[in-house]
Amino acid sequence: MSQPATVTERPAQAKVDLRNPVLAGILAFLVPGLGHYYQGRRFKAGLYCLCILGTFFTGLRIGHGQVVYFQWAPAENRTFAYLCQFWVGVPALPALAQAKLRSAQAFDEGYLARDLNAECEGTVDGVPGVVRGRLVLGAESDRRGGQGGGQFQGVLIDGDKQTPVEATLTNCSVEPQVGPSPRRGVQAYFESGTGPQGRFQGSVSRPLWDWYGAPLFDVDPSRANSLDRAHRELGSRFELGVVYTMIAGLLNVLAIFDAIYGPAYGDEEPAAPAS
Amino acid sequence: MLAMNWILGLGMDGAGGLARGWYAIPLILAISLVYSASRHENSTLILIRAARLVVTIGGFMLAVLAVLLLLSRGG
Repeated sequence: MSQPATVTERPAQAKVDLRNPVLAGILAFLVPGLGHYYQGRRFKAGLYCLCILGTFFTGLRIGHGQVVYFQWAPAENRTFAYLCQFWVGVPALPALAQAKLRSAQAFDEGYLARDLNAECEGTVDGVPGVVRGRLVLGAESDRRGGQGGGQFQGVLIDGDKQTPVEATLTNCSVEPQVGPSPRRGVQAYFESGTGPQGRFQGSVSRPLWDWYGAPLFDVDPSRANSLDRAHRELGSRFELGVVYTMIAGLLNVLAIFDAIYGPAYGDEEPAAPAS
Repeated sequence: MLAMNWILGLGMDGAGGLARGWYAIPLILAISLVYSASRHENSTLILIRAARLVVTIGGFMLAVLAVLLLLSRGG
């Protein structure tokens, strides 16, 4: 004797060829839309890619690239937002790598793993114009507290006027190798040579790998107070960026489920439960 | 008045402008499209359902805004 059917059938699901659902799910996790592209569901692939990555990178832009990071210890710096952001896949994974694979020294103020030889831009206190040129700082064991020296060679640009600058630097300090900004701050004193003399504040370019997804610190006294600074600079834009990127991650969870199990209703209306 | 500014995203000093409120629109669009796409397979149906969801979410948010504005009267 057959029992009456109590489970609603979903005929539309059978129409969708999911190919290898597990592989599609992994691809959908890595890059939003990639799993659907692999399944031949091009419209959905484009839609997921555009909406999820668009939301994620818009949030990242709103938060000046500082809102996606992973930080678990100390507990005061813990970020739960990353638990949602993680699901965006490849664009969010560097944050995990920054927190787990980097040496502790990379986050130390003043630490140089090797000689710094880079284009630098900044200003000298009390001198109008911008100083641009090449900065050379030798790798020394400890630059904390403004120790160590270096060389600078470039020009002082004040309107149309350019003056050559060649200076020996003292009391140099540099921001950590890994930080949330694409620019790495440098402070030093121009003490001798040609051109202006005085306190120099500038920055050098930071490679993408050294700033994308870099963790922010607040309460750890041995680290730069980057979380506090980000909140001060961005205000409510920081939270807005966090919300955007979190929602992007949560939306990709829906897309991953769609890649593995197919659409919830297919092309049909959601059926009423059988009485 | 301060509460009204805060609700509208103007900031407590009212100097932030309405700009912050516009940030909700792309979020509503993205959420509606992705949610509808995860429910249906047909592209036309996805777009129709997404449009309906945009109206639903937008209407709900406006209703909440109206209630909060009413509550904040005289605040």
